[in-house]
Amino acid sequence: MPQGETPAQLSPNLPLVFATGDAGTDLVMNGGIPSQATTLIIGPPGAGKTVLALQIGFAAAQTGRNVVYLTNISESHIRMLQHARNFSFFNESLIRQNFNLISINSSVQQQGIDATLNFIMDVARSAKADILIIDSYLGLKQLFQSEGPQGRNLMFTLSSRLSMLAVTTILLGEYRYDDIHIEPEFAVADAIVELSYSIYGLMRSRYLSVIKMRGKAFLEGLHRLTISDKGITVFPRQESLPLHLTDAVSTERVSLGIPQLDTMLSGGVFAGSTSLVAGGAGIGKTLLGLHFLMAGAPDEVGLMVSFQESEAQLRQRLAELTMGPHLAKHIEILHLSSIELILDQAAWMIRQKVVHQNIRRIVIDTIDSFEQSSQYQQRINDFIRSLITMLSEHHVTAILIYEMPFMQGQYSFANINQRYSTDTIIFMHHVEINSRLQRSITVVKQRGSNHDQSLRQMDIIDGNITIGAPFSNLSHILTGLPIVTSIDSEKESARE
Amino acid sequence: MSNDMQILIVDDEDSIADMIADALRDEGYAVLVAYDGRRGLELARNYQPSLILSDVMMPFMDGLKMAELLQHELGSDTPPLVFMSAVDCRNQTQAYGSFLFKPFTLETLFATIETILQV
Repeated sequence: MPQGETPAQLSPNLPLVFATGDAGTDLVMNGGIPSQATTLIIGPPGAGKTVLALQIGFAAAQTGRNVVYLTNISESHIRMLQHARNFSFFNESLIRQNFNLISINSSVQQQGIDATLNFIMDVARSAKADILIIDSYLGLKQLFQSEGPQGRNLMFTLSSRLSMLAVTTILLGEYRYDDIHIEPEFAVADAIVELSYSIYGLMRSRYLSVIKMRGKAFLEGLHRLTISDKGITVFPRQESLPLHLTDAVSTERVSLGIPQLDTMLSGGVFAGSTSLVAGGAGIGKTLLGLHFLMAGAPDEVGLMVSFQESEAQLRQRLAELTMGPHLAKHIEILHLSSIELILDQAAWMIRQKVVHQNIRRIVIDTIDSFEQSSQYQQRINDFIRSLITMLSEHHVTAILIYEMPFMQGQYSFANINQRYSTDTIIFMHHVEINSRLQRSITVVKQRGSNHDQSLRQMDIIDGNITIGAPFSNLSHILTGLPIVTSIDSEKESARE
Repeated sequence: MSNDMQILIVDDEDSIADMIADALRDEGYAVLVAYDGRRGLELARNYQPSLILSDVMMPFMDGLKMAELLQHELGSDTPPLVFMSAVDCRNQTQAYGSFLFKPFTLETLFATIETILQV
């Protein structure tokens, strides 16, 4: 259906979707809960069904829509309100105005299915409900199970009647996944949202997944969610996000903030490209990243995503750079803890900053922190590639810092090149010369460009990187234990 | 307690309405119960109770609308009203009666009733 077109049978005065109050959930659900349709929210106790339903209700009430929250057996209104007040979406002033909490009391239920259906319809009509939530629908259905086909088809009857009032219906139930194949309401529902959790080690991970959404695309699979004082926050699975790959190759060069390194790269890296800076601990990778971010300021907003150093530590190092401490204020710092890190939460936070703060340069320090935190190692390659593609899609020039084992002697780029598939690889490592550790730097790869092939000396002086001449009279530098070569043989190779 | 005192309880949460009704009966009051504002208005008109304990958010007619209609119809003969709600809506209810913030203890409820009815 073309965008903006309204199906004939739907009220044109209502939106096509109702936002859920959470940007991640809206993204997964292609805008939110489908309007004038029936959505089932299912999941075990404690999965967050009531929180999600309340959040959707308050988001709609906030925009002036009338919401009726019908309860039966699940929780008293007093307790429900006590809990709801803990969430930032709760707005006391909307209660009674746009948000009505009503009980389908047992005396109504005891009168049977017809009386209960009439009660629900009367409530919806008298409150001029745009959204009607029943918590819990399954409880209601179980009550009428003995009433034969009428009980089994309760949802069909309810949905048909409410659709005549143009009401958007949200039904909650503690269904199990297997019930989808058995219970008729799953065929009737226009959308089904499942909330679930699983245990990994000592962690309980919560998920939201859309099982069905009639006539609309949605983000497939499981998406991590958290419940906090904000309510439900969903972090769409990074790999599930639609990517718009571009074939356009930028010819614009971007400075890394170290003139000698820019020269090694024939003028810098390409705008919108991704570079891997690999090396051992203490070699100066983070510092290189800070030079790169500062080189873009103040015109290009830079973001440092740090799993290691705190914001205070990084600010101090930025202040030491001779490029001009006044530029440091243009650098955003996002400090993430790798302890019990939720991959998609980190990716979502990065994405939000990139999109909303117009980030043009980014450093991720270190990219292997994602690998160490991943519960599912089999997804890490796709996750990182998807993250890199997202950055490229937003024309962000990126440096991914990768920590390699210290002084290993035998370095292999095959795995990391395959894994990250970056445009450029810069390798920094320590070399032992005369019982002293000397830093070296080399450009291993630069896609679509010539680059300096030499291994150059590198130093850090007063918190700033300087790059010197290539090592002379030495070979096997990459092993970390170089061998002194004769001057004659060096001249010989120079002639060649 | 005198059982010539009749109290009308109006609350859509029947578990709460019934619990309060039982407690008041134990105290010797005659009790009427309605589970929505519309029925509450009907009982108030027909029985003119000594006191009305009413929830605010209810189906079909909320507590405030019920109070407004009662005042319009009965004027100064309107029974004293005590609103009970988990939402702080004292600003709206103060024109019609007292307010009890849910949850409350039976001790608080009895004290409120005794003050109003002067028993």
